[in-house]
This record gives sequence, structure tokens and C-alpha cells, in this order.
Amino acid sequence: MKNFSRRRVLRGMLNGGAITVGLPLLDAFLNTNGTAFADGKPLPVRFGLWSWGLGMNHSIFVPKKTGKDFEFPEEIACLAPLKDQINLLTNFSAFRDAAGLVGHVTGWIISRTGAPPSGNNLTAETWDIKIANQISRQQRFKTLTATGSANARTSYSYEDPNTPNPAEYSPLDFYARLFGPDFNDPNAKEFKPSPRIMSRKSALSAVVEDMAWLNKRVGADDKARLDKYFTGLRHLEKQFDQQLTKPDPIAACRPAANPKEAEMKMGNESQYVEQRHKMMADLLAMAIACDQTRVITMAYDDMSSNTVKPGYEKPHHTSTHEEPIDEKLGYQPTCSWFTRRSMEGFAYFVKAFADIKEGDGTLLDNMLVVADTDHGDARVHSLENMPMFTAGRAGGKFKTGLHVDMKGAPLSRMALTAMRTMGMDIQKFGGGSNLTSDSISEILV
Amino acid sequence: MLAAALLVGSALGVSHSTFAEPAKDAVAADVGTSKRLRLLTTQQYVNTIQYFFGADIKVDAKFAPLTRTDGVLMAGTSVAGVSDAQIETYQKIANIVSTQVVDARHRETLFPCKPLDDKTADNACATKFLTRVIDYLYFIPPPKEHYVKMVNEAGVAAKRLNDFYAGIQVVLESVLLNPDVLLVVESEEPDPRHPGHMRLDSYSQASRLSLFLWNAAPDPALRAVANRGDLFDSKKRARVVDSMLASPRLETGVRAFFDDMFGLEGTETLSKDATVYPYFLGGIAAEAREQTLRTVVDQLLKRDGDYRDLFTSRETFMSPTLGILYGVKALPGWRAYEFPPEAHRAGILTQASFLALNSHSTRSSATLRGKALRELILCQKVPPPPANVDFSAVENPDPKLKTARQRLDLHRQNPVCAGCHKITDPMGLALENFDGAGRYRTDEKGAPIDASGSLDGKAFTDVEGLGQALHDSPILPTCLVRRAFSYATAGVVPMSADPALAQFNKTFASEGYRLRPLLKAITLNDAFSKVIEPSAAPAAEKSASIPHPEKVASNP
Amino acid sequence: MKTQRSVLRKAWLGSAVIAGFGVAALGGASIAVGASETATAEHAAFPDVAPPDRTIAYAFTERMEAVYQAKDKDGKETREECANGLNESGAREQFAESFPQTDGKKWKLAESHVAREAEIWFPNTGPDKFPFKEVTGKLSYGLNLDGKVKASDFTSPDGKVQGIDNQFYRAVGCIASYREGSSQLLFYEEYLEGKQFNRNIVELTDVDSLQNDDDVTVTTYRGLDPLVKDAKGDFAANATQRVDAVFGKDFIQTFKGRIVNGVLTTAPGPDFVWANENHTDASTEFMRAARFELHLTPERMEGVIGGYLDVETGYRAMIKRYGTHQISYGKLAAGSLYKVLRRLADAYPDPVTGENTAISSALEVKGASVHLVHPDKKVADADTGTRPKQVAANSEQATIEKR
Repeated sequence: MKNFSRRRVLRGMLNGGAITVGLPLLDAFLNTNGTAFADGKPLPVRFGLWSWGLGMNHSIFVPKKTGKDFEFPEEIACLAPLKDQINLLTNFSAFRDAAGLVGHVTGWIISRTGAPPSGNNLTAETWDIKIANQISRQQRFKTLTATGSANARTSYSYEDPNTPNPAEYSPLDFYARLFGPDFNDPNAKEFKPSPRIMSRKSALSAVVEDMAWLNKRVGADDKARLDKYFTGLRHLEKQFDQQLTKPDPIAACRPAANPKEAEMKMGNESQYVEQRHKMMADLLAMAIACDQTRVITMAYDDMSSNTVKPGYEKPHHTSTHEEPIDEKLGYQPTCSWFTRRSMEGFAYFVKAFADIKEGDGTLLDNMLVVADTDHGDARVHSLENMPMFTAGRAGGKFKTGLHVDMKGAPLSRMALTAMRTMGMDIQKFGGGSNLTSDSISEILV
Repeated sequence: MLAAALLVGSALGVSHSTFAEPAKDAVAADVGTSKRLRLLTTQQYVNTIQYFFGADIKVDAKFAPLTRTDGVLMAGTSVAGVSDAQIETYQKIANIVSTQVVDARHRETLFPCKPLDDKTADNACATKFLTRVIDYLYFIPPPKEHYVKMVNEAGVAAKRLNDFYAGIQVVLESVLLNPDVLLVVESEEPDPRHPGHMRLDSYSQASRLSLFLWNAAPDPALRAVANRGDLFDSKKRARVVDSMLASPRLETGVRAFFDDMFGLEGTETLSKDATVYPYFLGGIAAEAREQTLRTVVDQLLKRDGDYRDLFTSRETFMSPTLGILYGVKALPGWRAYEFPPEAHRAGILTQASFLALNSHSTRSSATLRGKALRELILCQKVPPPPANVDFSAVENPDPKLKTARQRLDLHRQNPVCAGCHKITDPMGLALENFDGAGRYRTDEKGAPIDASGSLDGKAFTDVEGLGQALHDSPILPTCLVRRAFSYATAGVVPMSADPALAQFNKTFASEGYRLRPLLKAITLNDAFSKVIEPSAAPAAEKSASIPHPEKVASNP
Repeated sequence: MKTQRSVLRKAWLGSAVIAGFGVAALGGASIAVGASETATAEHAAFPDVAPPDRTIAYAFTERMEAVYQAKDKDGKETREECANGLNESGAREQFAESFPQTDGKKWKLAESHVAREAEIWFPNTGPDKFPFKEVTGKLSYGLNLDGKVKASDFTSPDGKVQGIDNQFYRAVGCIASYREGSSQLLFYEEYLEGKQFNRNIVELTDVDSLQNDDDVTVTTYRGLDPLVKDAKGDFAANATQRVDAVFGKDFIQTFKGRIVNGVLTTAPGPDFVWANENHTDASTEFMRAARFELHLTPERMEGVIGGYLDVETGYRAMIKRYGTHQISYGKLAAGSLYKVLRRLADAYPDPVTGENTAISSALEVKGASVHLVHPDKKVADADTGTRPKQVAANSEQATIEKR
């Protein structure tokens, strides 16, 4: 299939073959509204997880009102301009059941696996991996993980309990991995197909071709069921074909130039964390725009953050335990300063995707980003009153602009909602008391 | 050497015939079932892969849920279709399994040979490995050309990728996607003993045996048996069945069957309102399921006991989490446990699995319990409530009506409701001493609970009485027989099978209601392997007898 | 699910429960009926029958020093008990004051940090060069341990009980670390649940009624199993605990008591020993002539344990548990605390020096009922010696296992 022209693809679709996965996002394929492919199939929805450390200060973070008309208290004031792109969900719980509480660890493990840890360890893969297995296995990278902290261990994405996806922490190295020599630039003239995909496709075709002996045995009633199976296999072949085809140009795929080493600082100071996070956010947005992956995870910094505020002697984590609550303000002012920096980071991250045009909307419109943290009140290692954000409309499946009080529901409901939205057919999610079978209907269209 | 070969040796190696041979050809020649095209269940796929490649191969599979058909989930495997999404699931698992099989850790033990050069193709070694794999995984041996073709694919891929094992992985992934791995396509052939009649061919019979007794595809030893045609020789067939019944894998098969029959898959999504039942801890539903399955395996396999005793025995197994619900001492792990008589826990109906599954999230339900008891345990059908029924008396009850019995009395006074509630409630109310999570209680809102009731005319005063009435009910064992035959043949039991069922019932009774003789009788009977046209209409379940339970009792 | 501790603590502070028991503890005929509403309600809910095997046990789910903090009717702290304010001179502050870094002075580690650590690890009873603020109030939780009413004693917050002995409270009541909301206090409770070492158990035997029984035996143990949370997030009742009869022998102590209107009181008994492990260190502490006053229901226990805390072990346990880093969370200075504990110690004089070695104190406790599994007699009686014995778990299980 060398000449992957639009006409040919469309003809294939009209003939009944379904192409939904891995289709290049050339505007030429879109319907006149730019909201879907020409045959009416929606644009693929991409997924991201974003995290910040050490929770929030309840009195200045959680809006008094719920629903559409909520206000942005001072700790999240920087997100107000993005109101119509995001949702804020507050008052989640992480139930650790019999598991001991390991400060700054238990919370995120429950958030990311749905289940309490065993000791300090996860008991399953993180759910971004479940989504990646569903929607991103055919991409160049199944998933990409990055952090603004200067530490490869700041990863909250695990393939299994013993295998974290090490975080990209150097924007220079990350750029090289993404857009270095192996990058199959959809806008480039030359194209070299993957030999492994060629082999997989060839072997699959051999199985499909060799079915005569099976067909002979099947009665008329069961013929249709067997045919359905072959239709499914042919669908897989088509996915391989797509990957072996020169990618079509993607208008939005315009990687920036290699960042300069001189611009890079690896320290723990807040301004360097912020700078690295911005560069990572831009790289991740471009990786999605270029369809190199469909699932990303990003950590603003470590859950047990060592980020330092210049002029203040204690890093963020230590401050949460040692800084007194200011009696007049009613919260820990320096801790809130740190949280505000994280929130600005989230605002930047959301905007990085919102600023890329796709169809007649933005890349963010076709994304779902979920943001989580390790605690409600980090000072006392609280696993209650935990906040989350979502950003993006998930291809029209998500409402935005809402504040929802989750009334103590488990974090796993967000995971379940996200996984279902990303096309996974699952009945329930979560371990122990975190088990749920309910989506968060308030934010679903 | 393949790890699986070792497993097979131990699984099929023991052969001793301890059961009476059933009478041959006693059943009319037109008793049989239609041939099936079945989907492997999730657990059958996992077992099949792990029995062959070893238990450390991770198979994180979750196939689409099945539809319960006439009381049996397994019957749903013969009707379920395969969606594109399901195929993608198969591919994901095939990729994960094949990658593990060739990885550095597994290739040493799972390959029968080493390539001369692992940077390129080695057709000899690839042939050895792929032949074994294909022979095991495909239900029916494919034509010779298929082996050659797959070896060639592996060779081309190995050269292209400069890696022998990468070539194998690519081909193994495709082999695992072959419909002959994930579907069981039964085929038929003329039966020489009964001219004009059809029977399942040798491989299809082997598949039925293995899926029924071991909940996995046939292993190489059973395939070899099938290949020799031994299953057509009644003596040899009996020896094969005896050895399968003696295998530790029988436990896997029996667990799967009773999980299906008792509807225990419901525990996967079972949850309770934590404010009402705080002692229904996270993860407890899975342990309740495990408790019941352990009880079944212990009673029916380890002790070779009477099926009916499952409904009266106080002996079971306990875990710490369940100990909290039951309010008893429970040391870490699973331990044998016998309830004292005063605990009023006798039989699996008094276990948390049945009690909690057949309740609402905030209250118990005598009706749901009675209905489950009728449908799951006695193979009877309870009609759904009429559409216009007024549930307000039950949903928003008069506060003066404290117990379920008082509230349900309203139903039984209403002629529209009475017909069905008379079927379910007298049995269900006997379980009212257990709340919606399964904890024992003596009163409801301060009013003492009356656990008396009746089953098909037999009155009793407490839950032990219900258990004894079930134990003594002539319908109880016949329901197990019916379910087992339906499960074994993965379909609705045709009306024409009644003579065969009658014979199984007789054998079951004469063998003291022990499970192994029943499984043997079913698998050795022609009805198990004979193919008839599907036009024979499936029998309606014995719902006709329901409006007159007294008649059921007197005329089983 | 709300923060467990703050809710429980509030429940305590809203009632006169602890002090109320004091009357009964004195052995007088009158029993304080000022039981908390919760307890009263629960009492009404269960029938007055003997527990199974005339035995009931509870695992401790909460345990903390009883510290009274005065509040106004809106629940806001008035700090009346600390007329001089809270202690402001914690480890960090004392360090900064001792080693000023003004005028560019560089201190050697040996003369600054190490010297400060030495003051913690080799404390003395000499005068404190830093100001220390004791409790000045007259009200406290606790028990009247000596049966006397002395000038230094406290009165219960509801005024019903006089002569409460709790000099430990006098020492620590104005240190933020020991007061409501301190992170140290919260972590301390976290570790009670999270660390297996801390599994204190109390068992009542010869019980004919949980409401009234004039002779019951109370035995303390350490358990081997984790606490379990129920679906609501509370500690589950009815879980099973195995007695640690091998390494837990120190915790096994027997007391005699009686139950009146659902409240257990014991006569002054032997030491009450409790395990106190945090993230770094496992230690034990004990109070002498300990006494229990516990509200009982079939599933819950709550109340107070009073006695004379052994100052040396208590202090050592505290500094081993918490480094200077954590201690400074709550304006606590270990060296100063030692001085005040020794100064206020009011019992068990050292036979040689005549100085008191123990200080009156009280613990607030809560518990959930457990099924206690005792080991084989052989194991229980075996001399633990110096070598660990590995038979405990297996043999006690063998007695339960039927086949």
C-alpha cells in the first residue's frame, strides 16, 4: 500500500473495512467540520496524567460552590482563565484498608493503581498503562513519561509493580529520543517501514490465508461467528498496514529546534523545576501532535517534593510538616506558595495542548488529561479531601467548566471514568474499599 | 524440553479404574447434542497457556462476559460472537505471551533446541519448537503445509530482524491468534456403530472431555490419545476418563463448574453499602467465593462425599477477613473450620457468598434468596414480577412492619404477587437470620426473626431445617445432573436428552451422590459425544412444575 | 471517612468521661454515671449476657497521652491551662539562640550540633537555661492514683473528681507537640496502626456480664496480627489476634478489677507495658501501679489507663523514636523536657538518691474487640532465653487446625 491516498482510504472504508486506529491526522481526512473523519468516525482521543506533590490547602483551594458557577480560590486562581477547559473534582478519598500508611507513597499508589500498596509496593500496573495497552500499542511509543524534577525516579507510571517507566528528566535527552534520528517525520520525504511490524504483519497474514481447513468444518449457523473472527483479524492486518505506510503529513507536527544545553539547569530550585516542566510540556504536546504516542504521564515534581523556594530554608516536603499554620491566614503560607507554583505548572501544561490546532478545534479538545496528587492535607498525610482536575473534552465525551464535590468517593472512580472514556470495556476498578463500578456521571456528556 | 510435558506426565499418568462401568448403549441412539463452535472462556485460555508454557507466564486476560443460558454460563460460549475489540484483546495477550515465551528467562526451558546462531534463522530448531506449539494449541491438527508456512515466516522474520527468537515471537503471536486456538470448532463424522448417526470426531471429543473436566484445552497426552482413536474404544476411553478424574487438574475443572452453577461470578462486582455493613470488608466478596469453592472441592473431591451434604455440613474453610464477618476466630491463611451448632451455619446456603450475592446492598432479600435457591440449586424457573406491581409496601415499608416476614406477608396477601412469592419466600425467609452481608442476627429492628418455612410441602422451623429439606429433596441431585450435562456439552439440554439424564440420575443415586461417578457416567455416555441436528427444540426448564410445588415434591 | 483521630479526640474532650471514672476508681460506693453518650447508647443496645467463653479481648486502636485543652463553647481553644503561653523554645529555637550566626561566626560541629545532641542523649537535672512553661491550670484528665487530694493534684474538667494525679500533663501540656493537631501526635497514632510491634491487647476473663461483674481478671498482651479496617474505614471488631508469647512476654501482666454499669475499673496493679515503635525505632515504655478505667461494649472499648510513668525509659523511648528533626516539629526540646520530667516526678524514689523516678500520668485509649488466640501452654511457658523460638506460630495454629 505505497500510495496511501485519501481516495484509496475512503474507498476502503466504503467497502466495509474499518480503519480507526493509528490513522494519520491529516486535515484532508477530516469532515468539513473538522470534528471527525470523513466517514463520521471521531478523531482519536489521547490521554494524559499529570501530577503534583503534597496536596493543597483546603480553605484556599476548594471552591465553596459546585457546578458551573464555582469560584477560583486564591491557591488555584491561576487556573481561572482555563475554566472552560477543565473540571475540578474535590473531596475524593484513598482507602488504604489494612495497608499501613507510608506518607507521600500510599496516596499516589492508590490513585494510580486503584488499590492499596503492599508495603511500599504497587500491587498492579498503573492505570495509564492499561489505557496505553488499549489505545497506544500501535504507536511508536506506547507511552511517554516525564517530570520537572531532576530525577528519573520521579515516575508514577508502572508497567508492573516492579517496572517503573523511568521518567524523562532532561529535556535535552528527551528531545533526542523523540525527534532525533529515529523520528519518522510525517512531513519528511523519506520513509522506512519497521521491519518488526513487517514481520508481524506477514505472519498474521499467513494465519489468515491458511484458514480453509477450519472453514470446512463449520456448520452454516456458526459460519457467521467464524467470519466475524476473520473480520477482526483483517482489521488487525489493516492496523499493521497503516503503520507500514508512509505517514501522512500532520499540519500540527512541527517540532521545535533542539533545546540549548546552556538553557538547562538541573537544580531543585523552584524556577528550574518550572523551566524544565515547561520544556517537557511542550515536548509532550508535540509528541502527541505528531502522533508518536497517545498516552503520556507528567509529574510536575516529586510527590515528596524537594523543590526549594529561594530565601526559605526548608524544601517543600519538610515545610508541609514543619511550617506552622498561620493563625490569621488559616493555612501554611510557604506550602501554599509551592502549591501555587504547581498549579501554574498545570495551567501551562493545559495551555500547551490547547494552543495546538487540530481540525477546527484544538489538540486539547481531543484529549483527556487527569491531574492528581498524593494527599489532601499533606501536613498530616491525609488521604481524604483529595483533589483532582481534568482537562480537555475527550473528543466531546467530557463536559468542562465544572466543580464536583465527590463526597468522599474513592479516587478509583476517576480512573474508571477515564478508562471507560478511553474505550475500555470494564465493569469495575479498584482494590479493597476502592472498588467501584460507577463512572463520574457529572462530568460525562 | 517443554515444561508442559512434565506437567502432563503427572496429570494423566495415574490410571486406576475405581468406578463401575455404566451400561453400554443403554440410551436411545437419538440422544445427543448438536456440535458446537465454542469460545474459550478467560480461565480456559489462561489454563491452556499456563499448563503448556508454565504458570509463571503472565496471562492478564479478561474476555467479554458470557450470557447465562438456561442456568449455565458455559452454554453462552456456544453462542457468543467475537467483536473486533475482542480480537484486539486476543492480540494484546498474544503479544504479551509470545514476548515472555522467547525472553531470555524462558527460552532456556521452553525451547527444545538452541539455534546454531541466534542472530539468524534456524529452520530445524524453529520446526521443532513450532510443531510442538501448534500441535498443542490448535484443536485440530492443521495440514502439513501450515507448519512449513509458519516455519518459513519465522525464518524470514529472523533474517529481517537479525534475531532467531524475534522471528519465533512474531510467528507465535500469530499462532496464538489463530481461531483454532481461541475457538473450539467441533466437527462430526459418521458413527460406525450406529449407521446413519453422527458422532463428534476424536479431537472434538477430547476437547469436550478436557474443557469439562480440566477447564483447559486438551494437553499433548490427551491429543495423542485422540490421535490414536482410543476415545472410540469404550475400555480405553474409560481408562482415559479415570485418569483425568484422578488428576489434580480435576479440581480446576470442578471449581469452574460450581462457580458457574452457583453464579459465583457475581462476587466480582458485588458491593455493599459500607455504612450499613461495615464488616463487609474490601476484598471479602472474593474470599466468600473462595470459601464456597473450597467447601465444594473438600466435600466432593477430597472426601469423595455426598453432594447433598453440601447443604447441611457445618464444615468449611475460614480466612481472617471472613472471620470478621462471621465473628469467629480466624488465623492467617485459609484454615479448615467447623461452625459450632449454635452458629446456625449449616450448608453452603448459609455461607456469605450465597447470602450476600442474593441480597440488596442495604438489606437482605428473602425473595432473591428464594429465587436463587429455586433457579440455581433446583433448576426451577421463577417468573419475573408483573410489570404493574406496587412495590411501595416493600420499598417504603410501614415502620410498624419490622421484619422481612411481616413486609412480605403483604405480598402474599396480594393475589397478583402471591403466586410467585409463595414459591420463593418460604425458603428465603428461613435465611432471614442472616443480614444482607451474611452476618448472623437474631432480630430485625428489635423484632425477633422467625426463620420457619417450608420447601415443597416440607415444613421446618429454622435454617438447619431448610438445609435438611434440601438435602432430602429428590429434585436437588437431579438439578446438579442437568447442570453438569449442560455445562459439559456447552449448550442447552435438549428435550431428547431426558432418557440420558434419567440414567445419570440413577447412577448418581446408586453411587451415593458422589461427584466422580457422575462425571464418569456423563463422559462415557453416548449422549456426551453423539451429534444430533440442532432442530430438536431445547427443553423448557421445569418451570411448568413451579405453580404447584406440592406436585414437584410428590412426583419428581 | 473523616480524620480518625481528630473526631475521636473531640469526642473525648466533649465529655467528662475520663475524670468521671475516677470516683469508682477510688473504690468508693458511688459510680460516676457521666459516661459519654456514645457509650451509654451502646450499652443499651446489647443484651446483658456473658461474652462467649466468659472472655473478651480488645486490641488498642488509639493510645495517646491524656492532655486537657480548655475550650470555649464554640470549641475554640482558650489556652487557660497555659497562662504563660505555649513553649516557644523548641530544638531549633534553642539551637539558634545558643549558636548565633550573626557577625559571621562559624561554629564547629563539635561545639554546636554534637554538643546539642549530647545534651539530648546525656541529659541532666541541672537548671534549664531556657525558659520552660508548665501547665498552670487546675483541670486535667486522669485518675486519682494515690487516693489523696493534694495541692499539686488536678480536678476533672467537669469538676466531679478531685485529686487527679497527672504531673506528666503539667510537664507537657503547653508543648505544641503534645497538643491537638500536632503532626507528631498524628504520626504517633499512625504508627500505632501501621507498626505491628505496637499491637497492645487487653483481655478480660471470668466475665459474667459486660455491664456488672464484681470480679474479672484483666491481662495485657502483645498481638501478632495487623489491625483491620472495615468498609467504612473504622477499625473492624471481631478480627483475630494471636498472642505473642515468645517476644511479647514483657507485655503479659495481670490485673484484678470489676465492672460497674459497663465500666471496668481495676485495682492498682503491676506495670502496664506498651510498645511504641515509629518509623525508625521500636521501644517499650511502662507505667507503674497501673490502673484501667474502660467503657466496654461487645465490640468497642474506650477509656483511660493511669499510672506512674518510668521517666528514664519514657524519655529514652521518646528520643530514640524521634530525631531532633521531628522533635522540632512541635517546639519540643528534649533536654528541657527531661529536666522538667525529673523535677515533677512524684513517685518511686531511687533508694540511693531519694529522687523520684516516676511521674504520674494517664493515657487515653480506644480498642476494637478481637478474638484472641492463645498459644500452646508449652510455648507460653517456654523460657524465651536468648534465642528466638520459631515454633510459636505453628504450634498454636495446630491447636486450631482440625485436619
